[in-house]
Amino acid sequence: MTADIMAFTFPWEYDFPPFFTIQPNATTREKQLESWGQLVLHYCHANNIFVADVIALSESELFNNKNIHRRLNHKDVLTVLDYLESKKCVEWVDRQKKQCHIHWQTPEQWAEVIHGWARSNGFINSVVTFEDLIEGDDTVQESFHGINRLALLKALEVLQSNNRAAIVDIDGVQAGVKFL
Amino acid sequence: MGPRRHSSAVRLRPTVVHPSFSLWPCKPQQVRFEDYYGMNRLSWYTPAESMEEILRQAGNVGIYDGDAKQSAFEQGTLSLTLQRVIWADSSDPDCRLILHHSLIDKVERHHKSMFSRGGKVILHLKPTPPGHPPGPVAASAANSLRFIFKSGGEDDFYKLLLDALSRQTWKRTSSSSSSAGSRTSHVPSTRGGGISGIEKRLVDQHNKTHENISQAFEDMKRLRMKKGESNDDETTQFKSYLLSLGVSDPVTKTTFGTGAIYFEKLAQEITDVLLKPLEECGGTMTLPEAYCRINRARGVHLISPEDLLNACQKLDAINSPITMFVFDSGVNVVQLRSVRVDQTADETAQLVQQLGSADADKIARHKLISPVLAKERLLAAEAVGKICRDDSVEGLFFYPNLFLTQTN
Repeated sequence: MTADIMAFTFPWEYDFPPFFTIQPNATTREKQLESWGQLVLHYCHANNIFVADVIALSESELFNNKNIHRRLNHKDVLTVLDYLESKKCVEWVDRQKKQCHIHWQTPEQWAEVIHGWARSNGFINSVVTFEDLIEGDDTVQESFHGINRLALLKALEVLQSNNRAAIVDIDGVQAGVKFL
Repeated sequence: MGPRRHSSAVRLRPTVVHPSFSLWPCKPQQVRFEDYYGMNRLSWYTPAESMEEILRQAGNVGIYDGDAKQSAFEQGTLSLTLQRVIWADSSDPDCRLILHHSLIDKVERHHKSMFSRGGKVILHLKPTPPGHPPGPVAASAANSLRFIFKSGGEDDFYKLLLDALSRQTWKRTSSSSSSAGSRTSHVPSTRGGGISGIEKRLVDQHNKTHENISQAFEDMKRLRMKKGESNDDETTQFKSYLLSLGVSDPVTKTTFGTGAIYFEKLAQEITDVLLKPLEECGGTMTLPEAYCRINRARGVHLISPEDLLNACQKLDAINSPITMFVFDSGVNVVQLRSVRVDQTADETAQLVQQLGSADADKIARHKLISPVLAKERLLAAEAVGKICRDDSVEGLFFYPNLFLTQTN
């Protein structure tokens, strides 16, 4: 199954100037952060961003709308990402919050995609290493190509839990999976 | 393009002459007071009580009232003595004016610039004392005089004038009017160089000022004692002024003391003064606005901001139709009891919707309220979720809260 080509369009909020000011009113802010969260995930999905550098992301069009001359400042970008972290969609790589993993799909969603790929490409009943899954030539076209190891593991654990895969140890370390 | 000149304005002298004063003979002519700004601290020349030594003279000097560009005294010789400044008209040597040093508050000097006719010495004057001998004009709008030295000499004049002022020789009683004696005894403290000299001079200045002030208060006390009760005529006149301004019987601390009763009475007065203006301006005004209105209406016996605040806190106690309200930000307003905050929030949100987006200035202009109040209203509407903010380098603007109203 090839990756879905998402035609990415920005939502209406993106052109609404107040979107770029974190609202002091709690109810309004909750709604605003929800919108931001969805936008971040969709954008990262469309651009296959698994690990984001915060500064690079701040400079990108995601947080910077040149048309209306508005942008989220660094502090507010962190606010949005922390909000996503609370929803388990973001994982900080470092304490200084310079980089983070963006989980724009849930482990369950990844599980389906990966198992689907395994079926389509004849990998059922064979063992594939994590490395091959993440960086192998066979997965270059896939949406999960470049996925971060932790997310992959979580997805495979889902498959394992419903007996569609078995995680394999190589030299005592979880390093491969057998698709069933 | 010069200023408009009345042909009669240039060489006029007023006819006002107090019969009990002896004047040097001077040709009286017609004058219109509106042609003058007035320099009422100047007086016609009278010979001095004691021998006057001229410390400095400068020719080609003009006297100008305040910031006026024209004067009837443009060409004359200025002389400085220890007691006063004398100006004699070049074309009419019989026309002389004096200014006593005691009327001078402070002195400034400006050097000749490309655009001025000469170097200037500016004298800031004290208010005209009662019983002041008459001069060219009775009423003056300005509190300063400019001497323009068209042929120079302002530097020396300024220095010597300052020196003469610091000595305050006129303070000496008539017994020591002999100039020589009084002068020498006064010399040491104003001389002396270096920092210690400056410090000494400052201390002396301070002491002199202190002396002046205490003396002035002595005079006031004596005046008050002499006067006793103000007579009926004055009282009725005063009361009629107050009536015209809107307060018929001001509540004063002398009549009611400073207790709770005072503040309650004051609260009543505030209600009376502010009720109509509040109705006219939309029902709300900030406390500083209220303060200005109340004190303007009172004219005298002004109240302090603390008094206003305390009195406003009593508005509810006296069941006043107006009340004080404090916004979250701490801004105090007085408003009609009928004004409801939620209603105002709705109105503000509607206006924002109408305008698309608005900042405090826009709202202030539309509703004819102060920007402070407009901001408070916007914040209040934001707090109930009706509008949301856009804070950027362009300023703080508010938009309808589409986050809550727009369905995706």
